[in-house]
Amino acid sequence: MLESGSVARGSREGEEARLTVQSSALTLRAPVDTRSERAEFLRSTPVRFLLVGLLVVATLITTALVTSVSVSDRERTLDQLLARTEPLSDAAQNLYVQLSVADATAATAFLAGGLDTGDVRDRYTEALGAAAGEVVRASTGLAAEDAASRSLLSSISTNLPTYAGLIETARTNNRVGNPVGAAYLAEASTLMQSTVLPWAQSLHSGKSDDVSAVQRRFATPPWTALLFLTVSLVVVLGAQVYLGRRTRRTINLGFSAAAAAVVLLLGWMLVAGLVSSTATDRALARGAEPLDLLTSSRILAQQARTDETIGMTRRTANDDYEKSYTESVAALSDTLASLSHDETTRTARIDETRTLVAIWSSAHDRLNAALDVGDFDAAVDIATGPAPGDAADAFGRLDAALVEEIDASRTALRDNVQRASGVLTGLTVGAAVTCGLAALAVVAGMWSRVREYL
Amino acid sequence: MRRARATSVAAMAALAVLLTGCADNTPVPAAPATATVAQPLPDGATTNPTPTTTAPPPDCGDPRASLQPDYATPDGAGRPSPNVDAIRTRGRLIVGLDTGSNLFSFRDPVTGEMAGFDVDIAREVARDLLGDPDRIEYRILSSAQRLDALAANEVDIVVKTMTITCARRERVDFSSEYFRADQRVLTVAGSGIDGIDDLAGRRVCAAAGTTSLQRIQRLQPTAQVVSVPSWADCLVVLQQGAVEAVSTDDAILAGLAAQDPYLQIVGGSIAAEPYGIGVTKGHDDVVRFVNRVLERLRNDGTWNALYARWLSVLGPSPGAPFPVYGGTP
Repeated sequence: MLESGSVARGSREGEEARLTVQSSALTLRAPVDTRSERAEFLRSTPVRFLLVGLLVVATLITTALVTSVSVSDRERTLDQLLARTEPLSDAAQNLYVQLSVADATAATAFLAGGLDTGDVRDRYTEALGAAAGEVVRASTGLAAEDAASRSLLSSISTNLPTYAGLIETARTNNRVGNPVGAAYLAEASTLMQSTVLPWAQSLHSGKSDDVSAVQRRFATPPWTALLFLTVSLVVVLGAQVYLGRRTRRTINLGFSAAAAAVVLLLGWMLVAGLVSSTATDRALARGAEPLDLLTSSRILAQQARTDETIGMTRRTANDDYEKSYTESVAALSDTLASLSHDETTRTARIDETRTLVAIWSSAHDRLNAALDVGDFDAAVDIATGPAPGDAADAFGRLDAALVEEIDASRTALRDNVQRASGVLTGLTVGAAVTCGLAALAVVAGMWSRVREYL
Repeated sequence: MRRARATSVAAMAALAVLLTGCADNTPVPAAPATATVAQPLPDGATTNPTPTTTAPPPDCGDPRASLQPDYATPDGAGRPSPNVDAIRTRGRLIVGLDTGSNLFSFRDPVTGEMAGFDVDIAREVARDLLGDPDRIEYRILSSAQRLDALAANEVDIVVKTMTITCARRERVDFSSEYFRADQRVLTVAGSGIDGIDDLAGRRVCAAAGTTSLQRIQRLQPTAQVVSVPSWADCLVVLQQGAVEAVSTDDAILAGLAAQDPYLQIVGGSIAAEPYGIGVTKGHDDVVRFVNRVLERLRNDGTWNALYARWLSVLGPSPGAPFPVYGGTP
């Protein structure tokens, strides 16, 4: 209705414009000042229309580029977090724990004296094998340019056979009754505790920082893309208004279609972006942050356990191992308390781990009391025996509970990151196609106006 | 118009290249990462520790001179013995020794128990003091910790191949001499080392805080001395090729050589090393009590039995060293 009503007026105006074009075409042929000619030409209506059309198309293409790149970057980094960064961080954590378990188990085998039991031997072999496996798992998640982590992993891997060799030398000497076996064990333990484990710890802390950094980066909505889309919408509508004023036709079908496409994309981007950033935020709060504290707790518990067992084999006059044990357990209690006091991270299992730490501490006090009255055998029993409530039992249950809690946090992290990435599916191509279609619609809408002057 | 469309097509193509191109940019393979290979060494091993003493050792006459043994009168009216009484009240004798001196004190790999000549001497002290040789608590000390542990009263006695010297007498008291060793050199067969004279410029192992270490530094200043916490650690570094020789008392060297058929003790005696039981300074009653125990061991044949049990590898028993008593009776 509006369109048909304005056609008569528009065509009259078009007639005038065509005349103007023709006259200027005529004057173009005349040898006059070309600079003012060109200015005249640029001021002419169809050329203005053309320039406005170009501006709108350029804006739409830029928007297509920016939104696609920003969304695909977000999607790709989140997918990489799931496929590489997070498994690497988990592998690094497990690597530390397995190495530490191997060393503590080797020490336990010597603590009791006599032949090491098959059970203890199996546990050592499993832990060392698992550690070697974690090196491989971690290395597959390593970015090609991450030279520092690669060097750490290589160093750990290079020194594992040396460590295993020392342990076997210690075993063989023990088997033939040479007391020097204990010195080889001490040397192996020194290599592990003061060289290899610090490497594993620095690998782990670096990688778990990477996981948190990625999530912090994407816990906000894609503001840049949304800004560009808004600008595009304003430009399309502005061009529509400009065109409407110049041609007295309020609605241009092409521009309206383009505006609709941009609004659609803006809505899509807003919803997907918000859902994605909220999921990433939740992955951080319910996954990465508790996971970081839980893995630290597991490492602290392991360190305390190693101090407890190795301290008994050394039985030194100064209390270095006891001090180190006390520090680790204090730090462990603090970490678990902070997890328990935070409502988002508190679970029944975390409260259970706190109880287990208390049971372990009281077993350790009984162990010290036995040592104070010179009852070494009773102390060894408390440290390594299977009785419920003793140190070995409490530590074993604590570690198992921490592992379950770590798994739960990992699942929370991975599920939320999965959602954050999944909700972006199709948006990259969608943004490019929608902007492309909008640009085509603008071109078409402009063409129908400019054609009237030709 | 055609130009605008061409532009948009080009832009879309650029977009496509950008989107797909980012995904499969294969980086140049990184150069092999530098891995650190740690040379395993015992905890606390250091090379060329600074000489502990440069000044000549103080002169205190015969360092072996100890207090007269304490023979309580039958009616019990002996000297006051507060420190011995304290041990009896506690019910356990706290003995400082180490686990890395084969033949003298080591952890028996089969039983897990402490065993050796020094351990048996300590057990005899506990037998006379508390009526039961098992009423003992061991504290593991490195050689360097012996004097500090006695000074801090962390142990009652130190029975740990401890040479009696005037320098040490300034910080602790000693029992009468209970064993006489000689410093010699242990090396791998065929190494070309025949004694202390061949150690110039070579890498030699010794336990930190021992008279052996000081003597190597004094006699062979060019030798690179690797110091470790215990003598067993010296065997480890010798077997791993980090040193070429170990020099200390023949009794300890024999304990190392017993664990490796490729090792041999070479050269003559570099110096005599009289062993005494270390006691906290000022605990005269403990010194006298220990001296009484040692007198019994010499006289009732226990000393010879212990020598035969642990040290026959050194040759036939030379007999217990004759005690020297001086000062106040």
